[in-house]
Amino acid sequence: MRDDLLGSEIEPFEVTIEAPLNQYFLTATDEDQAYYLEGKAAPPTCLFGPARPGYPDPLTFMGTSFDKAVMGSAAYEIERPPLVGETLVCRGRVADVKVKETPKGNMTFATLEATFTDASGALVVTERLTFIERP
Amino acid sequence: MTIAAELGAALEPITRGPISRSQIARFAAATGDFNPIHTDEAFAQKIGFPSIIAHGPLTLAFLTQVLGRNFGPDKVRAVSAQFRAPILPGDTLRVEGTVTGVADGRATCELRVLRGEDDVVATGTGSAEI
Repeated sequence: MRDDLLGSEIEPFEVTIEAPLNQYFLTATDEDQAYYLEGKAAPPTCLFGPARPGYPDPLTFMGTSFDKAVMGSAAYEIERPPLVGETLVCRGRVADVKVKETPKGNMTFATLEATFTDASGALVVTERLTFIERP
Repeated sequence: MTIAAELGAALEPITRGPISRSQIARFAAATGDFNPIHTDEAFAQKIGFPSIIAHGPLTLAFLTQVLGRNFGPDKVRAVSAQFRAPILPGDTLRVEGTVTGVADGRATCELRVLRGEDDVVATGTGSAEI
């Protein structure tokens, strides 16, 4: 991964929760809760994804690649579910980088933290994705 | 359904799967995550997996669903997952959890995703308003 990774920021971008893409996400995840199927709210985990225009490929952003790195963990803090049709602003940064020495070489753990705020500036969801780069 | 959020209470589990290649492809399309470990059999095998694997955030979605099923989808306030083993096409998953804390109007839970009887493929935590 890049040496200057810690603290590096993603250019802020807007995410609109579009009904068709949300419906596709519900189908792909076998979602069966009426609350979401009614089409007014979206699961917070639907915010994951390079499908969102402006969302950079996380591995490329961190200077690594498909054949070296995997996602080790993911977490969401949810103030409220995103609403279908609303536009959120995503701001992301690399919040943590740790290197662990192993017999095969160094493993790097990097956490990409993204916040999604609504039109009033209120926080809706915080996403943390930790990627592991193998030696 | 909403459970009585008592310390030690088991969440009503959900079952997902068998995970199909088409479901993995749908998730890739829904999220735009076309990492070849999820879409390219030869690539996945080249880097050591037996086949393509499911996306970690698909597992996280299942964990969020079990919290929503038990507490109400609009009550879920946090969910996390550590991906401990790859989930492969054909896997059937049991998603379950236990209430480990109740305080300040929230329940906290430990969560697990099992393949078969005892193969833990993901662990996590969650919290929800009660």
